[in-house]
Amino acid sequence: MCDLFKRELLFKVLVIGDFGVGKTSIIKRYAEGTFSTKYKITIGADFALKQIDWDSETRINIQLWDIAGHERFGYLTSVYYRYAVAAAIVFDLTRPDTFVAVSKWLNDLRDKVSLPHGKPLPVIILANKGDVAANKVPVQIEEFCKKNQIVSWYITSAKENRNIDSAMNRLILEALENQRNNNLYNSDSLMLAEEANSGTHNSSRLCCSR
Amino acid sequence: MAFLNEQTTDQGIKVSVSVPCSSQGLVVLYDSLTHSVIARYEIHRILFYARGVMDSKEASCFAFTWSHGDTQESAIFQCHVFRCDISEAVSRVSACFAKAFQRVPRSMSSSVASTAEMTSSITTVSESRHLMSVFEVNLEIKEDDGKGTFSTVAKDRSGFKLRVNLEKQLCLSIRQVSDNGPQLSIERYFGVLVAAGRHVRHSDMQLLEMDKTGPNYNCNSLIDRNCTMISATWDPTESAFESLNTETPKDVRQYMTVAVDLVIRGIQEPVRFQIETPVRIYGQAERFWYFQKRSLIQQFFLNLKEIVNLDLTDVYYEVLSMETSGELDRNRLNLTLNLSSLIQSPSITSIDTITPKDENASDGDEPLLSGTGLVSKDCAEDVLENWADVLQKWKTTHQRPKQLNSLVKLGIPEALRGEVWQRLAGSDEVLLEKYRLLITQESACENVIQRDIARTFPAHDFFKEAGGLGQDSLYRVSKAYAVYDSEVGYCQGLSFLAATLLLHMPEEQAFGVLVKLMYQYGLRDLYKDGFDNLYLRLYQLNKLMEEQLGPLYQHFNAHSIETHMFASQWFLTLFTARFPLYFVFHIIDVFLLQGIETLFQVALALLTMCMKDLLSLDFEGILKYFRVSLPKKCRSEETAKQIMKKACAIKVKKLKKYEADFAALNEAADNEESNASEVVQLQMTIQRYEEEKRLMLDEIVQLKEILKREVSAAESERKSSQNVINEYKVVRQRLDSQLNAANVKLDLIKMIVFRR
Repeated sequence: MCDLFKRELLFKVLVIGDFGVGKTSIIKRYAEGTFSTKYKITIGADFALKQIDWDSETRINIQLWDIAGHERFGYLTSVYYRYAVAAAIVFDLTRPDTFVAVSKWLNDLRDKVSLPHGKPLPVIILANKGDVAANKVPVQIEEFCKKNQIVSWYITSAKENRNIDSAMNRLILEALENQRNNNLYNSDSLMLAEEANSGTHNSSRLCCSR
Repeated sequence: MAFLNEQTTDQGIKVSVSVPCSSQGLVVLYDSLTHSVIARYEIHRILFYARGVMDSKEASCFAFTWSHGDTQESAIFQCHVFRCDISEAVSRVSACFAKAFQRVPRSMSSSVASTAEMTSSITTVSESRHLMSVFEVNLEIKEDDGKGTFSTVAKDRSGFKLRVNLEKQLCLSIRQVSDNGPQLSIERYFGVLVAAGRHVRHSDMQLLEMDKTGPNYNCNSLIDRNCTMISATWDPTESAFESLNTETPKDVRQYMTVAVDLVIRGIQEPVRFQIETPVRIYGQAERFWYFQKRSLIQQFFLNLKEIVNLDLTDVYYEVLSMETSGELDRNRLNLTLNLSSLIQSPSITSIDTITPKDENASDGDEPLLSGTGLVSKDCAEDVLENWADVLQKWKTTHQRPKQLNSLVKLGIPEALRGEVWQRLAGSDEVLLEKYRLLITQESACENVIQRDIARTFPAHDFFKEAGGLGQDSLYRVSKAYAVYDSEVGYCQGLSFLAATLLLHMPEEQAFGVLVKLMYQYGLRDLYKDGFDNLYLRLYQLNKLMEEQLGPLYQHFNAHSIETHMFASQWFLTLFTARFPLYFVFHIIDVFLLQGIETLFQVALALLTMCMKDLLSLDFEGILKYFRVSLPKKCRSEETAKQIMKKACAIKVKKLKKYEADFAALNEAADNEESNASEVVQLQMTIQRYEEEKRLMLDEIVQLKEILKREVSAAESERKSSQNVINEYKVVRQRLDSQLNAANVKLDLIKMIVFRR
């Protein structure tokens, strides 16, 4: 099908979680298909773009926001939460305390962002470093997900490229679904793009005055 | 010449001309009568020799052009024209000049001393002498970059970094560097040979695949008088090079040997220049981040024996022995005076400087790792002298000397940075003492620090190894700071600052300067909880952009790019997290000199530099540019210098005003907030009062009801009491009348009794 007739969507997806759990690696793997053992510290927030042709008439531009994991940056980074349509919370299977932190990140997220029609943001949990410690999945995770309206959870490995695509696809499917429902409400297929633009307009004021 | 011909013989001056037999001599004019010297002309300054056309009127004339003067601009050119009495003599003169132009000198002695023997080519046979000639070989290895071109491979102290399976090119340039030895020019080369390992036997060397025309041609080499360049293609997949095409195990040192056979004019046997160098072979996909793709430089000392033919028409040399310097460090070379001029010679620099532009293209989207860029310690002597003066003054007066400002802005020489940084920051003995205590204490941040250590300057040798010296000290300094400053603790980003310092000074001192940077220079405020101060700085930057970079400011606004998206990392880490090290160090130089305004100057200089690029990009493009392209742009040392120069010239005036604006804005926002909340409170109070009122009214009604009920109850009681009273009254009346009746009766009875 001709590209001209494709509809282009822009999805802003957050990737959050404690420091050093592999957020940057997951994003790198997903967006660029590479993995490097030389990983880096994210200060503030970083950003990557991935374009996927979802079906013959939909192209999705995914803005992946890589949010610094050090809790100190929470103040700095919450500005990036705005207009997100989905989020992935990452924890490190080799460090149990990072799973404990998942609920903290989730609360923070639920506090700061929700979808236009009041639905909660679709969230998935990624249990990363599955190449090292796949057998150490916390037993509570299933219950946690049920209780907290988590879409799904996956054991991932950025190193071995395990489950990352399928997890992200699931998340995007949810976002698409929400988008469709939203469009039914408004019967305006350009709504999201417009919203994103009008929304970011006053963001400079917000930044300066916190 | 024709003009000279027209003159009569007695108008001219009769001279005799002596032409030396080698290029090192002098052409001397003697007065033919007195035999006194009229003039001397060095052969190497004679640009051009010509003779009159045979069989023409000018056949008996010859001429040469001679230049004198120190530089090309100030040179004066003289043309000397001669006419011989016997026209046949011109041919001999021409032959003599031809020889002089070509021939290597017979003598190493200075030209003044040799004038004697130059007067004629007929001299006695001098005994053969031993001479030395020095050649410098510059070796560079290039690899197929997949784009049809070859780019230079990285090289560091452990040698060249090669990747498997990639076709390679060896580029050699060879030049004679000795000024005083015989001038030996390279005629051609036989071939380039390569072998794995070192101390290899001749038979183990493999001749490299030459271009179609064969090894004896110079088609792929460029020979000029000064410098010979040779390149040869090398296919590493050939079985003979197997060990140079497998990844080098971690603890193994791999070597390779490269040799080139040259035919040098004046030396009969070909001369072999052989270079042994360590190499390390990596996987094909490995990427290196060093900007300086250096070449290897090695000098060869040829001990020659001069042999003069019996008929004296030719001089040649025999190579007695050959020694090599081993690899030369170009940085050191700068200091040896006689060689310094060579280093600037265009023939060498043209091989050596790789335009960063190429690299930008080849590295694609990969952001630069932190800690890239070798910073050389070389420094021009005059700069060092200036610094020596300043440091001396500083030591004695304990005040920053005047010249310090301009010197620091040019960049502190790497060798002096450690000391100068400490002095600029002001060292504190107490802190150093404290450090020893601090490192023994525990910190809540240990976990975060541990995570960050491996992610700080991973591209730098010093911090590369887990558990290595660099990572260990980085951990200790970061932890000590976290303990020392319990309010800020450890914040991601601090490790970059600490690492930058650790590259220049021991741990204690690095800790001392870190504390000064945080407290005295105000970086600590940026890190404090809530990042209030960081927001102030970002606001100030935004205003400065509006003031100085209008178009960019508007473009950013249009695309919703806010300063915090790119500058928060710059400011928090003093630009250390993404930029190449020599740029980072230079920024720290200036920051330590003048403080926080440096942040704005550098930020504005960077934005100015890439304004044109940024204006053509959209939201995603801009953010990516900041992350990937911009740090790479600063990879050339020259660019970094220029940015800093520009930065230092930028005026950052209205910071105070903007700070006040920011405070006012904040206050207004706060006021608005508090006003709003007051209204809400009042409304709530009113509501509360109304509620109370309602409640009270209710109560009143209830009370009334109760009272009414009480009253009516009392009334009815009163009535019933009245009734009772009335009844009692009736009863009393009845009783009274009964009593009266009884009394009457009693009186009657009494009367009866008394009557009786």
